[in-house]
Amino acid sequence: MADRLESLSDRELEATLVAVGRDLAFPEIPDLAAAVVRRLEEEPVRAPVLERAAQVLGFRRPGRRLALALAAVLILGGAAVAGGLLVRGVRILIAPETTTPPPSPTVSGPIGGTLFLGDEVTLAQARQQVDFEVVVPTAAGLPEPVAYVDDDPSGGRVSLVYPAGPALPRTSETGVGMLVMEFRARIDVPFLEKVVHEAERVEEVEVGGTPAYWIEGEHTVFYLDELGQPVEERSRLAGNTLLWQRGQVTFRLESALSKEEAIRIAESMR
Amino acid sequence: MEGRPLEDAELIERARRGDTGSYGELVRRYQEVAVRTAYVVAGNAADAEEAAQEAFVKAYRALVRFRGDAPFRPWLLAIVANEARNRRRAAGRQAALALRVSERDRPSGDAAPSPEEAVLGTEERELLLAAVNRMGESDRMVIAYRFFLDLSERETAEALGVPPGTVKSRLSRALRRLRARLAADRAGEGAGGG
Repeated sequence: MADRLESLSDRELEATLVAVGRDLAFPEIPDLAAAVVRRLEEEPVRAPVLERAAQVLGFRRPGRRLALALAAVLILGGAAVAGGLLVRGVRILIAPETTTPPPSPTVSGPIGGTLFLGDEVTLAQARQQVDFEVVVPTAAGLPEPVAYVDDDPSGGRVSLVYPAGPALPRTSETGVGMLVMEFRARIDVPFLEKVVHEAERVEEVEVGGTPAYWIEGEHTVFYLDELGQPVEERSRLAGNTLLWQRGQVTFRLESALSKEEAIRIAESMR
Repeated sequence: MEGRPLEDAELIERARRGDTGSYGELVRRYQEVAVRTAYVVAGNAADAEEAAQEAFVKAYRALVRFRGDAPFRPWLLAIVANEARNRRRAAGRQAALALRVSERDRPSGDAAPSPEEAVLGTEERELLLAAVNRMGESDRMVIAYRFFLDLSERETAEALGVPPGTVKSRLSRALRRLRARLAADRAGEGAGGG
C-alpha cells in the first residue's frame, strides 16, 4: 500500500493531497455572523492585553474589580520601563493572581518534544529557516541540544533544548535541563510580555553589559503578534528565566540554574 | 442592499465606521474558510468553531490596523490560526485530522472514481493523512493552505506571516519531509506487521 504512495511523482502526490483535502471531515459551517455581530454590540472594547491577561488568570469575562487590578499591573509594568531598563520588546506585568499551568502531556519522542516549540530540526536547518543569526552557548560542559524551529513569531524562532545532567540541574519538565529561545523582536513594539506573580522576584541584571531581566519562578509569557494581539505562551519549565537582547534578537533562557550560572551561559553565546 | 455584492474593501470601510451589519456580511463571506483553517490547526470541530468566532471578533477590533490595500482573507486567517493554536496548546494535544466517515466506508471499486482516486484508494489516502497529521505545524500548515484550503502562494505567505518568496521552498521542504515520513512508516509497517 504505502509503497505506491512512495512512488508517486510530485504532481501525483500533490493531486492526492488535494483529494485528501476534499475528503477531510471539516465541521459543518455554522452561521457565525449573528453571534459575532451580537458580541460586537454587547461587549465593550477592552484593551486586548487586559482581556488576554484576564483569561490567563482564569476570568473569562473580567469584571470591574479585576480590570482595576490589571490596570494597576499595567502601570507597574510601565514604571519598570520608565525606570530606565528596557529589553527590546519586553514588558513585565506583575499579576495579582496565580494560575495553574496546564498539565504537560506525556508523549514519547525527542527531548523537549512536548513543549510545543515547533519542528525538530538540525542546527544547520534552523539557521536556514530564520531571518536572524542563530547563536549557541559555548560554555564548557554543556551537552548537545535538540533544536526546534517555529514560524511564529514572524521572522522565526529557534529553541534549543538541553538535557539535564552534571552541568544542568533538572527542571519540572522531565529530562530537560535548559531551554534557550531566540527570536527577533520588532523595534518600538512591546513584543514579549510576561505576567509575573506577586510571590516571584524580578531583578534587573546585565548580560554582556546590556540590561537584562532575571525572573525567578513560574510565569506566563505573551508574544504580541503583528496585529498587536497577545499570543499566550505557557510556562514551560517552571524554572528561572533570564531575558536579554543582542541587536534585534531577544533571548530567553529557562533553567533551574542560579542567576550567576545563567548569566555566564548567556554571555558565552556566539 | 444593492444588486451587486459589495467589495471587501467597501465592507471593511463601513465596518471601520462602526457598521456591524457590514462586518456580518464579511463574516458570512469568510466563515467557511475560517472554520476550516481553525479545524486544520486545532483538529476538532468544537474548538474550530469557537476559534473562528473569537477571531472574527478580534479582527473587527484590529481593523484599525488593517492595511486597506491588503487582501482581507489571509489577514483574517492569520488571526484564526493564532486563536486555534492557542486553544490547541491550552488543551495540550496535537491536531489529528480525519477523513469523512462516508469516504472511509465507501467500498473500494465504487463507481466513477475521480482522476486522483484512480491513482490512489481510500486506504492510501488515510495513510497519507496520518503522515500529514504527525508533521510539525509549519509543514502541516503550508500543505494545508495550498492543498486543503486552496490558497494561492501569495495568500499562504500572508497567512503564515512569511516573505512571499519563501512559500515555494517551504512547500517543497514539507513535501520532502512527508515522503521521508511515508518511507519511515512503511519501514515500521514491515517490522511491526501493522
